[in-house]
Amino acid sequence: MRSLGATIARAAKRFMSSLPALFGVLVFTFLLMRVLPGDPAVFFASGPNAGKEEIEVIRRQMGLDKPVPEQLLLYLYDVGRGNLGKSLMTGQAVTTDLRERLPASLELTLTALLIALVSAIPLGVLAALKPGSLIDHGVRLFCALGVCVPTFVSGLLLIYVFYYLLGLAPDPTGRVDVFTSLPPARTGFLTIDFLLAGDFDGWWAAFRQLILPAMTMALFVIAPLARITRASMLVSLGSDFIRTARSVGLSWWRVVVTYALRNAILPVITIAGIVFSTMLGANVLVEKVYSWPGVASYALDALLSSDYAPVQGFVLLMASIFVVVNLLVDVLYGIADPRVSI
Amino acid sequence: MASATLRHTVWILRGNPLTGIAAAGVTLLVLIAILGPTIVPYDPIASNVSQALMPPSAVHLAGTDQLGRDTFSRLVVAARLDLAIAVSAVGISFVLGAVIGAFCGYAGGRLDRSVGRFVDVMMAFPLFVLAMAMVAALGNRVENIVIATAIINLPFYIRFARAEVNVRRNVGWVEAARASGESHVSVVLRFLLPNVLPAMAVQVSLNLGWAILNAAGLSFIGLGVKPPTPEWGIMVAEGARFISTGKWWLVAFPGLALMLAVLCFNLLGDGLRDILDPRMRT
Repeated sequence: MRSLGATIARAAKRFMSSLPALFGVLVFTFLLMRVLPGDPAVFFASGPNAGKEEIEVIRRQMGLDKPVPEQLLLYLYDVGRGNLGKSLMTGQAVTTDLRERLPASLELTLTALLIALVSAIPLGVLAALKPGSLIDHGVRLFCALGVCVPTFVSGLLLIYVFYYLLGLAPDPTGRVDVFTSLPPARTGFLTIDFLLAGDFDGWWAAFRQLILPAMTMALFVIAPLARITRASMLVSLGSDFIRTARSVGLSWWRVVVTYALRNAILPVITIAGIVFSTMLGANVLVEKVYSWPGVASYALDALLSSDYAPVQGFVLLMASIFVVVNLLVDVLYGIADPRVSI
Repeated sequence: MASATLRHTVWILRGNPLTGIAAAGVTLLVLIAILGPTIVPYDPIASNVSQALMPPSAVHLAGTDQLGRDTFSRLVVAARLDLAIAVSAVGISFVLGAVIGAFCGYAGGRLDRSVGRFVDVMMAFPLFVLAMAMVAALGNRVENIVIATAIINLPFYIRFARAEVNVRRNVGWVEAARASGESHVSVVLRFLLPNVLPAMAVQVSLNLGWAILNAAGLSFIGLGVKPPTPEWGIMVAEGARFISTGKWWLVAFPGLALMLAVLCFNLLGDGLRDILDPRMRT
């Protein structure tokens, strides 16, 4: 009970200390929109030929004639009420657009993270168990190459192999093909919604679309995860308590997994948090390659058509997710190592 | 002293020939970037529609694209732009980061804390998203790709320089410099920074690979470089349209170029680190 209380207290403290960062992000997105680009009012006016008076009216409506600090307060007030402005592209509120598309991005990113962890940790452990062996060299080569291949290239090459050459993967566009009827939206994660609706054909269709983009993203992050697992397992396996555990004749599984891995997992959790942040960025590239209807491709389309409210909303969303993930990593850290206290 | 360093370097190179190969690779890349347009067999932007989408052959080593342009020539010419973006971005963040970080580490106190906070805020961002947003705000041009890449690199250099200077701020030779009447600015710039630079050079090499990937990623999504300019990221983007009909060479060769460039810089960085600081080997 005491440890649970401590974990919550720790999480609360961390959350408070991440507030300045979140505030900084808010100010940054504000500056991004109001100060740096030419004149937002011109973008919102009917067209490039809009008259001076029309632009003036829009400027007043948007509050752009007020001093900058006052505009910042108005912006903070708007964000507090969940109003991120309207997208010119879709004609909807940015909040609505983001809410519709976020599950697609999260489903992709979380699946990729799962694939990466499930493959990287055993790889790192195997490499650490036999340093200098063929498996160790293989893992290290893979790690060195893995961080050098851009996600957009590996994604396209996976499409070439699995769609064009082998015909195993479906047409790499979107979350399901047009012939599949969507399940009732409960979680927004299609693979889970199909299961909840008991539609296994639908689940298979969604799963087949998901697996290639998720693999693409996972490939990019397996390398740092496997590398840190290997390094941290090497330290852990070389320590005295492992020698003792071995000498008293504990089983292989008990020694390697229960004692060594448990102690080696902390740096892996830390790196997993950092990796998640790079994945949020890689999302943009992967979603573009696979025409995945997530928040990143939405922001990208908006960006290329000079529609800035969605971009601003997207940046804010990504930063908030990142803050939440960091918080989660911290809580996990406390659970994995009870010695980490406030 | 110098001969000991040399011996150590030779010893490292013998144990790890990859570093030598990587250094040769980087040299080759720089040569290609300099000579690029003069050594290519075809004009990189001249289209020849009768030869469109030809697979690799003896005539077109890396095939041709949808306009019949020679992919190999485009790859070679692109090296200059890709390298220029990465080098200038990393150069800017190296210089700015070293100076800002060094002064923060030397001064400590309130300046240090507020810059530290700012760096924390920047690092609280998915960096690629930050770069995207900055290019959007500053305008969709190549210079702004450089600026955005420089800014997202800045926090690492500030942190690095700050930490390195901070541990040295009160050592004997710094005290001696101060005692002999050097101003604080001169102590930082003439005494502390030169001692920090070698360690930072390692970061530069590791960072260059990352900057190349980042810039290519930005131009892949349509920011910065405009067609028909040859650049590896945009070449992949143009080839992407033909991948599901099996035209692999338009993606594979620019991808390979990116991969080899990044690999060389990374291996060189690892090797340099081993030479400069054997304790940091992993």
